[in-house]
Parts: sequence; C-alpha cells; structure tokens
Amino acid sequence: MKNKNILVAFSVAMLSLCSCKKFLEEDPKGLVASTNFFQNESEIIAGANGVMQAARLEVGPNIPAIFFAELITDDGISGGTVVGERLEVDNLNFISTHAIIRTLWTNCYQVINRANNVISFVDSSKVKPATCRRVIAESRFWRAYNYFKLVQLWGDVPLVLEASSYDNVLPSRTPSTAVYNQIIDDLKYAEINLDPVYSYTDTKNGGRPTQVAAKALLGKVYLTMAGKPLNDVSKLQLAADKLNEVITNKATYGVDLMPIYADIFKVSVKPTNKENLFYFRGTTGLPPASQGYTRLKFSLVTFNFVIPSKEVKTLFEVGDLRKAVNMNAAQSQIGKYIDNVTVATTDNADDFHIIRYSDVLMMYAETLIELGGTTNLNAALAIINNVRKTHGGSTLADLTYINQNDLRDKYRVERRKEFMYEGQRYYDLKRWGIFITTMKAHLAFQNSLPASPNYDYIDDHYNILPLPYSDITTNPNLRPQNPGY
Amino acid sequence: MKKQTHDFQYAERKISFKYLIFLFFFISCLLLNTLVFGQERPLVNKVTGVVKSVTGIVLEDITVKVKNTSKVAKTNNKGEFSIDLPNQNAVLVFTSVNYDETEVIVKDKKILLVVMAEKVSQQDEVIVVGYGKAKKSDITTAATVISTKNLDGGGYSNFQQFLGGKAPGVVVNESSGSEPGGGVSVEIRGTSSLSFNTQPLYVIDGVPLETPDNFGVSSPNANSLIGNGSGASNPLAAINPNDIESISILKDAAATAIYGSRGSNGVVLITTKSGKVGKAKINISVNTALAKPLKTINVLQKNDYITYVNEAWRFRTFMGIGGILPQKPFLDTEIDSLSDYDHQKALQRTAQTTDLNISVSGGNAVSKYYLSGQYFNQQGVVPTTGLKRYNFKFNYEVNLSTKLTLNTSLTITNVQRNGSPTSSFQAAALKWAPTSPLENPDGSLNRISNYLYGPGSSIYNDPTFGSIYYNSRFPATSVSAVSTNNPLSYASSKGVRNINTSNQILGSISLNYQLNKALSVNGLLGITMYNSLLENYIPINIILPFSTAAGLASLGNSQNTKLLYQISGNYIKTFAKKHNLNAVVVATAEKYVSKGQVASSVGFPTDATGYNAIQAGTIPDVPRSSYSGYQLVSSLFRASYNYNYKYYLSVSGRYDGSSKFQNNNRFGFFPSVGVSWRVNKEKWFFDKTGRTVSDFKFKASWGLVGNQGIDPYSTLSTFNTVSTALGGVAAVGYVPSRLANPTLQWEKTESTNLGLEWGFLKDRITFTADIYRKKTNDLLYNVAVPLTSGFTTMTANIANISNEGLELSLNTINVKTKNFKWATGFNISFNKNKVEKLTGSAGDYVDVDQGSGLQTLFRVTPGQPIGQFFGYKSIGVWTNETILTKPATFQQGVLEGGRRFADLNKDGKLSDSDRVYLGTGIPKYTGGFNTAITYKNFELTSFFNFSMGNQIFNYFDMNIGSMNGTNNIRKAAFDARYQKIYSDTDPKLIEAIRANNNVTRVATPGTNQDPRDVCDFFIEDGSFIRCRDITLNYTLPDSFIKRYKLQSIRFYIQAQNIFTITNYSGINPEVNTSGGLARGVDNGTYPIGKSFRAGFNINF
Repeated sequence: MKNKNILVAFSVAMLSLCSCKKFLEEDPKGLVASTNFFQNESEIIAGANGVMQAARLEVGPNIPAIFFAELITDDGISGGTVVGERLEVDNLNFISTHAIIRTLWTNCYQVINRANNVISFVDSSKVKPATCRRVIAESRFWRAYNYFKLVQLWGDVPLVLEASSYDNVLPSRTPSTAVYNQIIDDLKYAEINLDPVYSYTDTKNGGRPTQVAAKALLGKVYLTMAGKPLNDVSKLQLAADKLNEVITNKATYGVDLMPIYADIFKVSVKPTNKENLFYFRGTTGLPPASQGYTRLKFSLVTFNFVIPSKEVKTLFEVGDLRKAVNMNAAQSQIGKYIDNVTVATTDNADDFHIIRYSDVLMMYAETLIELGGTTNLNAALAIINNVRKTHGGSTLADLTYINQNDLRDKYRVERRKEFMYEGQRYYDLKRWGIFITTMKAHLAFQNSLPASPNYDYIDDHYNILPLPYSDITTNPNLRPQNPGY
Repeated sequence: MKKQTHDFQYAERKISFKYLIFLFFFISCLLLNTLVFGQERPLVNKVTGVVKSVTGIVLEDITVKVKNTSKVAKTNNKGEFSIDLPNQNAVLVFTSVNYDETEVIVKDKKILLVVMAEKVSQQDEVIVVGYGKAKKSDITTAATVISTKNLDGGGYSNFQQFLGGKAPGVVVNESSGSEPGGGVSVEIRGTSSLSFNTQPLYVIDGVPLETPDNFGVSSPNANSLIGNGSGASNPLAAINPNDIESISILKDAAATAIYGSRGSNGVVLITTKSGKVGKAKINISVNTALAKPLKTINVLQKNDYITYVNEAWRFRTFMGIGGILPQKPFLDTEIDSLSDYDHQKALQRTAQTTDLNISVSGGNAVSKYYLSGQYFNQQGVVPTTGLKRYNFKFNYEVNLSTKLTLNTSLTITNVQRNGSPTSSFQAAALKWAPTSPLENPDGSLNRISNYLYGPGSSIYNDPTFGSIYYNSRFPATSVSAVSTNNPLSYASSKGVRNINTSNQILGSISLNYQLNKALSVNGLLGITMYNSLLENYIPINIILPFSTAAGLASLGNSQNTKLLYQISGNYIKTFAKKHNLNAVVVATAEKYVSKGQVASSVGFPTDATGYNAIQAGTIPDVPRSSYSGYQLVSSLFRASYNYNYKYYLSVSGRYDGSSKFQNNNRFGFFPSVGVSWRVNKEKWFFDKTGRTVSDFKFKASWGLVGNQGIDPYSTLSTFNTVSTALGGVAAVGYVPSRLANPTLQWEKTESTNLGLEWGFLKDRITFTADIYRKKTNDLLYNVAVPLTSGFTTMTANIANISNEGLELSLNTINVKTKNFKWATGFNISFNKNKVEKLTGSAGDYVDVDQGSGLQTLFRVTPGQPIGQFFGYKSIGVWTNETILTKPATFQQGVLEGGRRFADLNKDGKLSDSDRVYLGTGIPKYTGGFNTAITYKNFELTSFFNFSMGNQIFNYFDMNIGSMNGTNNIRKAAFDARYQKIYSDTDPKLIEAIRANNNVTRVATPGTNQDPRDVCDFFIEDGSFIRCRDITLNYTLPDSFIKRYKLQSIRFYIQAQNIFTITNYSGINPEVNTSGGLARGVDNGTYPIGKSFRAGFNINF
C-alpha cells in the first residue's frame, strides 16, 4: 500500500517534469527580440545609430575602403611591410578570393541590411511622424550611399531592399540602371525628410546625414551616371542643377570653401570647418568599442599601407600649398590625417571627408565642362581657378584653356591635386573611362619597366571588381562571375 | 561468522556489484581453504551432498567428478548429488559453466555442503553505464573501461591526457602540446559533427558536466596579443586525477542513447573514489617531475642568415624594386662583430611539477567516507606558463535506516592557470634574426627583429616607444615603422600577464529508498558551478595593435551554473531463477546559465598595479556583459533482461526536450536496442572447450542519439547593441545580431555495432573486436551565407556524415610465474569517414577557412571524408627560363623563384578548377600498446600510442619559412632556396645551384611575395608512434611493511613523452585542430615536453 503511494507520487513527479513546457521557453536576456523592437522614439533612433555604426566601418578598424581606393590608383603605392594582398591591389592582379574586396562588399551589405531592418520594422503608428520619417530617411541615405559604392565597384549587384531573413538570402543581380534608380529614389526621399543641417558639436546628431549631404550625393550620383560606363548624358543637367542648388544655398547650409587648404584637415579647426558637408567624425576619449574613431592615421601613415607614388611627387607646381598637406617633406608618407592631437589607444581625432564643399564646386565645374558651350566652359574655368587659387595658393597662375578637351584635362589634374588621398581618384578615373590606360602607364613608370609586355595583363575587365568568391559559391543566382575573373 | 556474513550481504544489496564481487572473492577464498563443513564420519563408499552458491541458492546441473577417475554425477534441481568413492582420499571436482571449479577432499565426511563461487573474470568487471552499473559480461553495447593504473601520480594536469591510446576508437589529441591545463580534444569513433561540439559528454558521478561557454573574455583590443580567452583553463583540469576510481567510455549509440540529445559524440563516465568498509585508510602520494621541450626547430645561425639577407637584397636590386631600403643590410667587414643568438632557448626552460595528494577513507555498516586533498603545481616549459591546483573532495554515504541511504559528494577546486598568451610566440622567436638580441643593452625589449638591428647601433628616440636601438646605416624612419612583437613580450616576466583563476564546485546529494528487495527509488540533486576570472595585463613596453597608448588591463569574469534534478526508479529481480531483469526509469531536468562580464582600460602610467586597478587606465573601454542559458527536460528508461546469463536483451529510450529548438523540433526520442549471446555459457560449448575458452560472446546493438551542441537562441531573431559616436559622444545602436534559422533541429546519429569478445585460458588472453557504422543526419553547421544578407553565416542542418570502423584489442599475459609476469596489451582502431550529403545554400561543397589569413584550406564535398586539404599542386619554382614562357594570366605578378603551381586544367589561368584534394588530417588508424613486466616487487610498465596515415598542413613552417628576406627562416628552407644566377656567378657553381633550386626564391626584403595560396608543398605525413610513459614501480616487501604497520609503500620513477618516432618535420605531430572540419593544421603552439618523474605512495 505504502509502496503504491510512492509509485504514484513518483509517476506524477515524472509527468510534471515532462509537461513543463514553460521550462523550455528561451529567454535571451542579453538580447532583444526583433519582433517587438522599434516601438518608440529612442528605439528607432538606436536603430539608425546601428546603421551608422556599420557605415563607419569604412574608416574603422578594417579601413579597407579608403586605402583600397587609393592603393588601386596612380596616386598611392603599397608601402611599409608589404604583403601580397596589398601588392595585388597595387599591381591590379587580384582575383575573386581577395580578402579586401570581400570586406568592401561585406561592409556595404551590412549597412544595407541594417538600414532595411529599420525601414521595414519601424512601427510608424507608435512614433512621431517627423522622427519616423527622419530615421527612415537616414537609413535610406546610408543605403543609397552604399549601393552607390557597390554599383560603381561591381556593376550589376543584387538590389536587396528587405531585411534579411531565413528565406530571402539568395538574391539575383539587378541591372545597374535599376540600382541607380533606387539610389536616386532613396536620396530624393532623404533630401526632403532629413534635417537640413546639424551643428558639428551637436551631441545627439552631429555627424548624421543631412539634407545638404543628400543633395550633394545625389549630384554626384547623376554625374557618375553621366560618365562611364553608363554614359547617361541626360543626367548631366540634373547633376548641374542639384549641385548648383547646394552652391546657391550654401549660406543656408552653412557650407563654404575654406580659405586655407591645410585647415580642412586640422583637428583644431574641425568645429568651424565649413567644408564639412558629409564626413565621418574622428573622436577622442571614447571607449574603443564605440568605434568613434577613424584609424586613418594608423593604416595610412603609421603602417604606411599606402605611400605616395612616383608621379605625385612631381605633380604639384612649385608653390602649390596642397603638396605639403598631401605628403610629408620627404615625400615618403601621406601627410593628411596626421594632425592627431591626443595620442591614445585607437583615438584618432581626424575627420574623414566624404564630400567636401570644394568637391561640390569641382563636380559642378565638371558637369559644366561636359555640358560644353563657351558660357559653361568659362564658368567652369572660373570655379576651377577659384578652388586652385584658394587652396593651392594665390601665387599660382590662373589656368586658361584652348578647347573643351584642354579644359577637361586641366580640370582632371586640378581635381587630382585637390582630393588626393581622400578616396576619390579611383572613382574619378572610372567615371572618366581612363582607369585602365592610366594604370598601365602608372605601373610602367612606377616600376621603370616597359608597359608592354609587363602590364599587358591589365585589360578592361579590371574596370570592375570580381564578385567575392564566397558569394559566387554560396549563391548560384549571382553567377556568372564578372567577365575576366 | 554468521553475523559477519550478514553484514556483507546487507552492504551488497544496497551498494553495488562491486561489493558482491568482493564478497564472492572473500567467501570463495575462505571456503577453498576450509573446504568442507560437516561432521567427521567413518569410512564410507558413497558420499552425498548439496551444492549452493555463495548467496545460498541451490545449484542445479553441476558436474561432480571424482578426480583422476571417470566417475561423474550431476546435481538435481535441489542441488543434491550422490557419488561413489573409490577411496577415502578421493577428491571431488565440481565444475559448471558459471561457477569456479571447486575441489573438495572428502576424507571421512559423509554429507558435503559445497559452496561454489561464481566465476570471476575480466568479464565480471563492473562498468559504470549511464544511470547505473552493469557487469561487463552483461553489456550488449560498445563500452570500455579504461584502466586507471598510473593515472594517479602521473602528473596529469588533466585526466584527458591520460586517455590517449588506452581504448580502441578513442582518439585523444593534445592540441596545445604540453601546456599545463591546455585544451585536449577527445574524439570517439570519428567525427559525427561538423563544427559544433565534437567532444564527448563527460558525466562525473552521474552529473553531466557542462563546458562553459565563455571562460572569460579579454578586451577586443588585446586579442592579437592575448587571444580571445586563451588563458581560460579547461574545466576538466579542475578534476583531481587521483580521485578517479574508474573511467568508462560509452562508444556506440546503443550505449549513449540513454543520454539522448547529448550522446552522439560518446560519453565518458567518471566515478570518483568512495569509502570502503573497513579500517580507516590513509594514502599519501608525492611526486615531482622535471620537463624539457622535446624538440627544437633548426633555424639559421648568424652566417647563413647574413648570406640569406644579402642575397635577398641583391635580388631586390636586380629586379629594380624600390622602397624603403637604400642600404645593403650587412657589410662584409661587420660580420665578425655581430653576435649569434639562440632565441628558442630564451623561450624554454626546465619546468618542475609537484604533486602532493592525501586521502583518507573508510567505513562501516552504517557509513562510508572518502576525503582527499591535492596540491598540484605544474610549470610549463615556456617561461611564465603553468598551472596550480588546490583540490578538496568529500564523498559520504550513510544508511539512515535499513532502507534509506543518503549519498553526498562535494568537490571544491581552485585552479590558477598562467596561460601562454598567443600561439605566435614560437613563430616570433624563430623568425627573430640571430643577429638581433631580444633585449636591448639597457634591458628593455628590443623592437627590431631583423637586419635593421646591426653593428654600430644607434638609438632612435621614438616619441611613443622611447629608445629604439637600430643600425645607423638605415634611416630612422624605416626603423620607426617596425612594430614586431618581441617573443619576450609573450613569455617572460616583462611580457603579457594572462592569468585565469577558476573556482569549481561540484556537488551532489542523493537519497535512495529501497522499497523492497527489487525496487528502489532515488532522488538526485546536482549542482555544478564554474566561476572564472581572466586577468590580463599588457605592460607599457609592449606595442598595442593600432594604438599608441601603453598598458592595457582587462578583467573577464564568468559564472556558469548548472542545476540537475533527477528522480529514478530501479527494479532488479530474478524470476524463476533464470530470468534476470534490471530496469531503470528516470525523469530529469537540467538548467544551465552562463554569464560573463568584461571590463578593460588602456593608457596606464605605470605597470605597478596592472589589472588590480583598471581604473588607473586613462581610457576605459565600454564594459560588456552577456547572458546565455538553456534548459533540458528528459525522461528515460532502460530495461535489461537476460536468460540464465546466456541470452541478453537490453532496450532503452530517452525523450528529450531542449530549449534550444523551436516548437516542432523541440522534443526528440532516442531509442536503442542491444542483444548478446554468451556462447561460453552454453553447456554444449562448455563441454567441448572446457577450460580453454573462458569467454566467448557475440553482441549486436542499434541506437539513435542526438546532438544539440549549438548556441542557445540560434532560432530567434534578435537585436544586440553596438556603440557608435555622434557629435563626439558615444551613442548606442541596435543591430540585428544573427540570421535566425527557425527550422533548426537536432543532429541525429544512428549507429549499429557488432561485437565479439573472446577469452582464453582463464582470460590470460582476451580479444575483442567491434565493427560499427554510424550515420549522422541533419548535421548542424554555421554555413556561409551570401554576404549580401549582411551576415556571414547562419546555423543550418546541412549534411549527412557516416563513419564506419573496426576496433580490435588484444590483452595477453605472456609469462606468469611466481616471481615474474609479463603482460601486454594492444589496441587498434580504423575509422572511415564520409560525407554522404551536403545541402543548403552552401551548394555542393563547403570551404572551411582555418583562420590564418590563408585561402580556405579545407573543402567538404559529398562522397569524400571531411577534413580534406584542398589547394594547388606545386611543381617547384619559376626559373629564369620557365618564367619567360609563362602565360601572362597565369600566376600574375609572380617573379623568378616564386612557387610554381600546376595548371591542371590547362586554361592558362590559375583558378579554382586547378585546386585538388591534397590529403587529410584524419588518421587511417590509431591505437596504443602497453607492456607490464613484474619481477618480485618491481614492475616496469610502458605505454605507447600511435596514429598512422594522416597528413599535416604545416602552416607553422609556411609562416616561419616565408622567404621575405627579412625574418629568420628554417635551415632546411635556406638550404633548398632558389638562388638567382647572375652574370658574375661562378660558372662552376651554376649546375649545383640549379640542382638545388627547389623551395622558393629569396624574396625582396620587406615584401612577402610567397603565394599565400594553399598548396601541397607544406603537406607532410603526420604518422607517429609516441612513447607516452615508462614507469618503474617498486613496492616494498610485506615483511618490511608489517614491521611498521603499513599497508603498502610504492616508489616509482617515470618518463613521459621521451621519444616520438615520426617523419614529421615540425615540433609535434599532434597538431592543432580547430573544430570538426579543420584538422591537421600545425599552427605551432605550445611545445611538447618530455618529463622525468619520481614519487612515492604510502598506504597506512
């Protein structure tokens, strides 16, 4: 009898253990379930901050985007302790397994997925409409900026506009024109819904994208579409209009040309740097994990990942003040990004400029040159000379031109000097369609070797990068690989 | 006499078969000596009697024979017999299948009471099986007991080190060499998981042990110097090997199905020592050992290094490659003034180990106890590394009433491990130029590892690092960029401090209630706590990556708690004398919680306080904390039945529910069935073979087990935090943390085992053979997803794998005389692994990166085994002739002397289709053998293990052999280097140079143009035979011991790892593996040591 009772109790105990369903529910206390996030203002702003954190990786610990874009051109060569990976970029003989190329791709799509998450999951019913629109606009801006990089680097890329989930990870490639249309769409939304401008020291918003950044970027997108490889000349006028819009409203946006070129890169001048139109801010005194810093100094200067090429050492005219800013006196190191006040772990006070006001001016000049006609060419010349003499120094002689081609060539040299080591040259050369010819000549000159046969291997396929090998293998929808790789 | 017997029986019923056996031994000895009970009677011709077992059961069908005659009789169903005797001195011999042969001298007795003891052989060894114990003879599955001989006093920081080669099918890999407390990989019957948890489940006294998720994490900034949590100690290193009574290894699914979702990698059951009935026993064991590195790598000495660097410099000039160096590194006039350093020596030492152990145990009819304490201090052969353990253990068993027994066990361990910070210190030391010292004249750490440190040293005053000594012929700017980490900054008192202190508490309490003779109920509450603190400090003099701030301190704390509740019922009954049933039913729930916290800061003004005052750092990092946990609820049963110890049937099943999976996949059922047939218990067999065959058994089993070894929350979409900056101020961001896969389910392993056991001549020769086939489905893997998703990996069930194998073991006693005995044991196992299916977004194959900045080194493809190297075939180097005919698109940018790959598909390009399988790190067969020679009180034992047919990718060699004209390199690589033939090269030497040009060219200083691509050049045969230990024991003779009222004294000396037979050129053929897929890669970590030990063991 007593035994029976114990048996019953035992059976009940066993059954109760098995039926304990609640016991098996997961409670990830250190994480937030995505299904009920983005419900209030601080949550959606935190979402936008997350997008920005990924975007900053461009100048963060992996720093590949900037040095890649310089190393691959005729401005920079590989220095320091050279490893093959950087040499392959330098000499244009990379293949699809290249780690830096993979990182570039990864970083872009990480920003895009985070942006897509915010755009898809923000619960507009629970948040102030203005904040909601601004956060979405910010996310769309970052998405556009990264698609713009992707489409320039790889051509047709998958256009992913939804948050990634288990069943949508195998996108196909989208024609680059469609990608561009999405970029324009996103930026048009952004230029309306973003705040016009933030103060540099605004501790809540300083460094977020603004209306003026969206307009300038949109101008750049139009200009790029008008160039190679799309050759969509219908975008030239749009580019001119958009860039002119920034120029005419420069007082509203508080942007202008800095009178002294060196000041643009000085930490002490940062808060009043009027050229800061779209930038990644360098900070000091923040915990390293917040990645509130740029690592430009360490990659470009301390470790000499990129050093000046032979050509740029003789590029500047005597008296051009920009030379001393762009490289050190020995011409052995890059001179920008070294005005680092605090010397502490991972701190780097230098800002990195993505679009400066002088870029807007110069792009405007470029659209005018391409549009042609004496009026436009003369207006372009005036802008070019203005930038040249403001930044290069008043002792420099005014440029003149014979014809459109002549002015175009002179503009290109001026642009090269103005934006050296700011991650522009690679995209400029591609837009102008002279990347391959320039690189062949550069490598031959740099290494004192005849271009043929030594650099015969450099053909047009290097105009765009190979899709990362890992994605080609994991996603059959991306095949075939870009030709030549 | 009677009372004493009663006491023993009482103990036996409650406790275990072990005591039963003890009892059998005791009584049979007693009886054999006394022989006969009964009254003296006058001379008779006929004798009758009864035969009973030790436990009093009458024995039927026992053969009774008069010795040296043909007279035979049998006992009836009451155990009675009657037989005629030829004379009074006749001797009766009683024999039977199941009982020991017993001889009785009749003399003048009329009625005999004969007691026969059940046969005790190796087959009666008791094995701890899941949720119970069983005699080896009763087991239908593949389970092995490992002899714990030489485990205590063997100086093991971790008992896993002892397991290697001891049992067939168990492959132990000391992946971190002889590092005290370092990781040990144990794999049972091949790999049945891709990357998640390939290790067996460890169960200590019935409580499954958890491997803590985060041992303690260091600051992300310090990772390249410290490694992420590398200082963490192995939680199994918290167990005192001296406390281990027995180790059982359950190998096949039928044996492990009772552990359900955690059984697929096998189960290792550890039973700790407990008290035995008798007087208090005190055991003192003391030993000490000295260890030295087993092998060093031959790198260039001064003259060769100078030749090498100058050749590289000339080649550079010849190729017209510009750069930072305008100077020739070494001038002929300077050579004599340069020193010649041996940096490997600086990173090695003779290391001492001290092991003190004391235990007290005893018991009576009411209670039993075992109490032990250990102090263990092992130095590593690399300076500053080591492990210290303080261990306390208490096992107590008390009979609260005749039916209720309370069992408690408590182990408290404190382990302090000084870890080697990263694996790169070895490579750093080897690559450091022999002409450059590790320390500057002023005692500071040198920063210049190559020719830039030269004669006429100048001092360059770096604004950050202070004085840097360099060769004044080079510009200070080229020196200031050098940031090589000095190996002393890893492994010296001036270097990184990396200390993991862990406290482990293992406790359990159980109550056992014996309802009646057959049925008992048991409740168990187990708690395991593993708390660790990882303390790191990088002193000011060491360069931090990407930083100019000096000094970094980091504290990583983790708390891991596991609770286990278990209630079980056990039913043991024999029906109708021949039907033996043993059944167990268990309900159990486990909850595991792991928490971690990290705080760190950088920018220290002084090294004085280090991690003891992280607030002294000027820049604190963002503090981080984490939480993770899972729950498991299970009910299970096992029923074992046998008919008269001849025919066995065993079934078990476990129903598991795990919180790691979502609704439909949350529960799983894992059944097993096993049968066996003990042929030698058949009368016909016994009649034919008699005493020759002592054991002959067939067994067959089938079972299904699972693996749930994935991270918790893998099925949930979650956001986690990141930190960014706005307007110069830190701001929090939330980002998606993973690509969740809601469809995840258990990995399921189905295995079949067929076994054979043979014993000859009273088990003087025993032989076992097992064949098995394991098929694992729905393997979980962090499969690469397209990067366009914003993620790199997703956990998915993607593959099926099969393992087939054969395991053989042979143990023999070759010679056995009164004073001399020689026994040997040998085991070998063959395992064949094959990927059956691979699906998912990965396509047809999975490429595995092994994380050394190489192109993916492994490829997993259906139809092939896992762990296969995949890369190019190398065909020597490009010579000045062949490079001219090379297609421009093939190996672009390669220069003369560069490694040449085969264009297998002849398309003029080097592409993925030129890559082929190059070998595997998985051995064809592994095993071990041992011998024990006993002469009087001396015993000499030795143990060897081996691994055959596996390849090693010598990444370490690739790393230190990289011909960049700067680092020091291996002598063998130098001797076979490519030498450029210049116009002024001595014509007499040209042929010799050509013949020797086969490694790679001497590259240009400062560049590293060796292809990083994986190729067969660095793949070597990794087979080895290693002498694990040789031990000489001397036990003092009884005459001496008795004089001092001692029980025993044993002295011993032991040599471990003294030699290894291998063709492998690296330091240790037991190389690092990282997970299930990447194996056989030598990353060159901690050196293996050989050690010599002396010790003694006293029992009072």
